Amino acid sequence: MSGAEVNGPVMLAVGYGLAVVLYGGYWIYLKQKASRLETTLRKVKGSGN
Amino acid sequence: MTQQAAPESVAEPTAAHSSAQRTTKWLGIATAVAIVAFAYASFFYAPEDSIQGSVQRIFYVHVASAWIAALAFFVVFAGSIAFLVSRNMRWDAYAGASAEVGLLFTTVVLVTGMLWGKAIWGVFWTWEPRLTSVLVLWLLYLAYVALRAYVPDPSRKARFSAVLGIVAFLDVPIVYLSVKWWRTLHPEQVIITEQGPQLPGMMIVALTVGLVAMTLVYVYFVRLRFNVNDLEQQIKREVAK
Amino acid sequence: MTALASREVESRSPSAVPTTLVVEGLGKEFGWTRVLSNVSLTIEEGEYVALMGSNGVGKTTLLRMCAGLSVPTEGSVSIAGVDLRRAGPGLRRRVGFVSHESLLYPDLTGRENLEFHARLFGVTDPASAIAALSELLDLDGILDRPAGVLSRGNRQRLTLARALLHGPRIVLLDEPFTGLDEESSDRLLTVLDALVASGRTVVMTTHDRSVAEAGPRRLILLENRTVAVDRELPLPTREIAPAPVQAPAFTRPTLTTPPKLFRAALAIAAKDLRVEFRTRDVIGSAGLFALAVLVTASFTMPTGAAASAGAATGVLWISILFAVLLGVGRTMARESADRGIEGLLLSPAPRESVFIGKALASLVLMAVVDVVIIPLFLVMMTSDGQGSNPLALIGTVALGTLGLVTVASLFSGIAVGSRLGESMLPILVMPVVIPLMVGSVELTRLALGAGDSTSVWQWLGILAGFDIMVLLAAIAMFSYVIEE
Repeated sequence: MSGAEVNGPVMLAVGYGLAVVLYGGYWIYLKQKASRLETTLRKVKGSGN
Repeated sequence: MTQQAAPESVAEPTAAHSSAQRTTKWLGIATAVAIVAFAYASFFYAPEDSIQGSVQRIFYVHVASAWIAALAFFVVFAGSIAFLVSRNMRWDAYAGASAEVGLLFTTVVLVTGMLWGKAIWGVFWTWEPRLTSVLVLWLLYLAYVALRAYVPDPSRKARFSAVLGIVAFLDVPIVYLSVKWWRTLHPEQVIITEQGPQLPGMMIVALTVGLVAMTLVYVYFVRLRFNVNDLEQQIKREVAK
Repeated sequence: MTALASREVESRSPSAVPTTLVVEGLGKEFGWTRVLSNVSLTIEEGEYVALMGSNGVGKTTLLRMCAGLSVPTEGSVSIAGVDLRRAGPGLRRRVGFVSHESLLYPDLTGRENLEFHARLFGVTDPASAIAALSELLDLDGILDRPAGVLSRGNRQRLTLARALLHGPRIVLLDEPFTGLDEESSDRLLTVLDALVASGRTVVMTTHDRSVAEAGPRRLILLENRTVAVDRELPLPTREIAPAPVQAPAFTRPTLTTPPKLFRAALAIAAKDLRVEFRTRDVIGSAGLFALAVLVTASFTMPTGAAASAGAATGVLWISILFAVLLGVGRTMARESADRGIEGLLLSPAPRESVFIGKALASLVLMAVVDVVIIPLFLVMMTSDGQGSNPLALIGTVALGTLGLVTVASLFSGIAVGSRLGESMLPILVMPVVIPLMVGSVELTRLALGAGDSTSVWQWLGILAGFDIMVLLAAIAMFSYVIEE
């Protein structure tokens, strides 16, 4: 387990970092997509009337 | 969750619609608070593991994500059945959103599992039964999400993915057993430390906080995804008019 | 023709309820596109109706819902007072549907196609029913040629024969005059006249005003997704008294109870095997593919003793998996060629029998591939199978192939309906069959005399459990895959 002490904190940081990137990335993706769609919807509705 | 969101898919932005948006907003705030609490619990509150050292703290996000992934795929299964019985497209939208979010959680489980493995086993990947089952699960629901992307007609997409959502979920226990038995036949030189009942109380508290936080993340994401779906639907309806 | 009419009235089905077609508040959405809304109609027995409207207005969809091929989003269609969704097999036999596609199997002859449908519909004496239709529709020279090589007009006659074979009370035709020359059109009009004269209901869609005025007595015009005009038409302008071609008497075939689950499945499987016997597509492609995988993959393995017991069985199962993916995908693609599957859905055969029949035929074909591949595997990759248990080997291959064929049959219906077509099949099948593959490989290894034999029951449990799970799921859910 000598490798554990060397790798441990790095892997922990990378692990949580990637989790934050994945969850956060998906959150931003959904937020942006929703706001883009809202703009489109307003445009489509506007042109319809 | 499904009951809460029930009145929101009305096409026009009504009072119900904006109240649903308000709910989502507050849910987002609650989720953010829970995540902060979870970060504190896993990094500072929970004690350092005497054998594994600090890397053991990856356990909290890993296990909490895994449990919520299981919940997400159960929702896909239940939503699929509900859709086939009722033919209500709302169930299909929930199943689709839940599968996508579940796939995200599964990806986190795999990534954190591999890093944890590297730290304590010395290798990124071993065919350890639980990790292998998660990989198969990931592949199954990747196929599910791919299928949804490749069937343009919505009603057909709903029927097809419901069938796959049911078969995939029923397959999971068989996958787990087969992988477990396969592993006992082909052992590798890896010491698998059993987590579980002998966890100290403070670790259990941290894990519980993690489960609450991840459940909130899941519900929040599914709502956001459902909202995106709803917007797409409204746009298509407007265009079709 | 009046003599014909009276004869028909006498030989009507014993049920006294007239075969009235009632459409109530019918609406259909395809995903987010609304095609029809709030359509209500009553068509009495013996009416002759033209359904008109511009392209994409929903004529075909309305007709398909009346035929029970398409499920309404709201509202209902009922025939003789029974909602189509709750309809038993008896009701399906009252309807004949001529689709834009022929719903015939191109590799089978006209007669084989008709015999197959006669079997599904429970026609007592198919030969005489076909002979009668042959006279009515002038099928001489068409019946014994493959349906796929016929000209549009000839195929249309065969399609009509398929729809009339079981003596339906309501005949629905979707653009029946498209692509017909003048002579064929005249003949079709005469036949439709004869059908109406014999008391049957005829409803056809058309975009051609002259066709609508050449026979039908009622015009229904669809506009903006619903009925805009519904009125009587004056007597046809063309001469009707001396019809250009005199239609011979149309005799109603006698029917027995239509085949139940397994007999219908057997009929479908027999049809598939007959097609395969004609074309040898599946055996040829899947068999060669399996062989190629087996040989190619052998070069990726370590040589020596370890190989025979270890990786070789994996290679064997990969080759069987690939053969199944290719072969079953092909079998299902045949159903969509001329929408043959809709012919099955129109028949009174239980929907589950479609899956069981298709899977059964694929199982037989894959068994043939197994029979070729396994001996080759034993000779080339083991020490000629010495020390192996042949019975265990056969059992393992049977259980494994059954599971693979079941999953592939269920998902090939899905793959065919996706944008990727058959390429989608491996993506769907492979993750699901992982436990089956693991179990099959381990059991094959045990059957070859290698490995820890105490685990035999575990693996048998995995295989049996998987097979039962997917079989039940597929039988229960295949109808959701193929409906519309």
